Amino acid sequence: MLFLINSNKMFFLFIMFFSTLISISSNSWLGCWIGLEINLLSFIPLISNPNNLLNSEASLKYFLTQSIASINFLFSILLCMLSFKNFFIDNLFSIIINSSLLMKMGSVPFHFWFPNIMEGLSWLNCFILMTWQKISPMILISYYMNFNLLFLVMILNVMIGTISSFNQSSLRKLMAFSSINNLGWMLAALSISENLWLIYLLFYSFFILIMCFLFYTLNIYYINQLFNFNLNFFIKISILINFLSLGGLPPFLGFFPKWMIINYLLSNNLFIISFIFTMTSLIMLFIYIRILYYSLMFYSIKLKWNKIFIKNNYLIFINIISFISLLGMILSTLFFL
Amino acid sequence: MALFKNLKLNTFQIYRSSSTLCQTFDTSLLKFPSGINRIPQRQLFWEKDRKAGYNSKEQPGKIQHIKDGFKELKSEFKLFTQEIKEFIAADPLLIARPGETDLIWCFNDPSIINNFVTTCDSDHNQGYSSCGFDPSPAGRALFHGYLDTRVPKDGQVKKAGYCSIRSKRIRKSFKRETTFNWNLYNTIVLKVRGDGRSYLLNISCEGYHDITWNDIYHYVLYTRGGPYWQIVKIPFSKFILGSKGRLQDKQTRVRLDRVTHFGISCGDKINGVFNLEIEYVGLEYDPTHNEEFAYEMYKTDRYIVGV
Repeated sequence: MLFLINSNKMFFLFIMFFSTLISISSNSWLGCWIGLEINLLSFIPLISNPNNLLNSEASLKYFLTQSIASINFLFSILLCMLSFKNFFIDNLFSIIINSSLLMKMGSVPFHFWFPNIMEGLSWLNCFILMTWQKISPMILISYYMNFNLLFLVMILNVMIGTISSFNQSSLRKLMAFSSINNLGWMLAALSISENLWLIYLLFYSFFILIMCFLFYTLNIYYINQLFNFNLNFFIKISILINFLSLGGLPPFLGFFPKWMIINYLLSNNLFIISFIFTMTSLIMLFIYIRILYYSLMFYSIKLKWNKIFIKNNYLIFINIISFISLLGMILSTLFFL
Repeated sequence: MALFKNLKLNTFQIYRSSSTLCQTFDTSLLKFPSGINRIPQRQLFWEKDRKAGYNSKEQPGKIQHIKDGFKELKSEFKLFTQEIKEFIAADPLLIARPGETDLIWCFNDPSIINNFVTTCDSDHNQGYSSCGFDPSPAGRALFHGYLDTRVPKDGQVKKAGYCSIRSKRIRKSFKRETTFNWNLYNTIVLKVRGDGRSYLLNISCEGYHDITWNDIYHYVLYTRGGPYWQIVKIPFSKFILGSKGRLQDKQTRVRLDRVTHFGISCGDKINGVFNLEIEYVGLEYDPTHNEEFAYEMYKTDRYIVGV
């Protein structure tokens, strides 16, 4: 259920928000580490649920991986401080610092925990893990970026995010790989400018919010569950629009942040990266279209003897958001171009 | 519980000595002989090894092990190339059509019997039953044997008499362990011809942590004796969770994406011959079955139910 109703969860949610702020606004690297640790400690009670085996297993695995990443971060910071008087960028230790932060986020060389853990969380927790938990590691990476490592990581992120989502039938794992894919785009944005990254994150959070909200209200966790509903017309259209928007198809709002990043990459003469990004986003779009077409068009079952009535109180909210996804491009040209 | 009218389980009356979590044998327990669990394995939460001491007796030497491994390399590479081809084809089974049964094991082909392992209490000198899983004269698989509830006189065993078959752990190429993924389905279908006895279906979902290594979901298979085949459909929402034979207080639904083994066991305390002929084991999706879980879990006071 929604966290704001349960006072225990609300407490931990607020601490989680503050921990990110601590991490971002601290003067020293130790403060950053403190923020990351508090983030971990406050997120664990949000996701652990002793009544469900899968949930508790996922929360234990999350704790183990994130604490290892925190330990690596602290260790590499101390090493860096002992070895050099100034923290200059492009030394060897920046690779370890960046790697530990990449592990915190679930980025490619260290992404194996991410789909497994997403598989065990409820949709609200998935949303928090995909959007809010990325903020502080991203900003810390921007403070101490190693461009050589990050270019490789970006390309790998985008490729592995698409290739691994080929044979998936679980929606949470699909969202996890989509998140890994978008991490590549976000790292590209980060290496250009922090403002660009923030804009991309806001757009991405918006898309993920509507997807998670749709799946949460329909209680859908697997692709085959999309077929077995007699969904009414508006919900079907919302799923179609938002999935395609997530894939980056042009008239929808999802194309806009990707367009901006490609624009800036090209103006910085990073041609190979933009080529790989474009090609892989095409493959990702193919995967989404396959799911959508099979669920909404080919195998859409409307049984006369088994009618399910979905009463959705949030229909107005969903409709407004889908309207923004449809026509958002036109509206955003008023702000950006 | 009505499900287990033929089985008696020790679910209460554990004498809490100071060494409940250790593998010791407390002789002061002899004062209360009636309701005490004296088998040490059941008191442990921590598992030292997956087989819990019941290892198979013949273990090849290390050099022989390596040589056997080399012989299998060629077939493993073939499996690997096949997996890559399937991955690139990217055609996962997205729906399960209602009314269609997807078979996991169809015993018309006798080689599929090799995917199963038989176990009985006489394997580790804990009883006198015997069993086998062979091709039947009718061309199917027959799980047969003799169930004997006589207890061997070694002072350790209190009850005896079980026989079971269990599927081997499915592996990908290079012997990597993997799990069944039955998310598309919600019922399990068996076509059997029994002898009137009740058998227990066991779906084992070994998890990642050692506490969940013994999680098995049970349900009873009631058979009719006749010469006619029966098709049994049991939804997954009815299976009940147990660990090492003890039904847990906190029940959860079968973890369909992490199913590791499927087995059938016979342990209904009736001395005699048993025969169960199986034609297939399959899965089906029943859209009219909306039940998520059959056993209600309401909130209880703390520290009473399952910690």
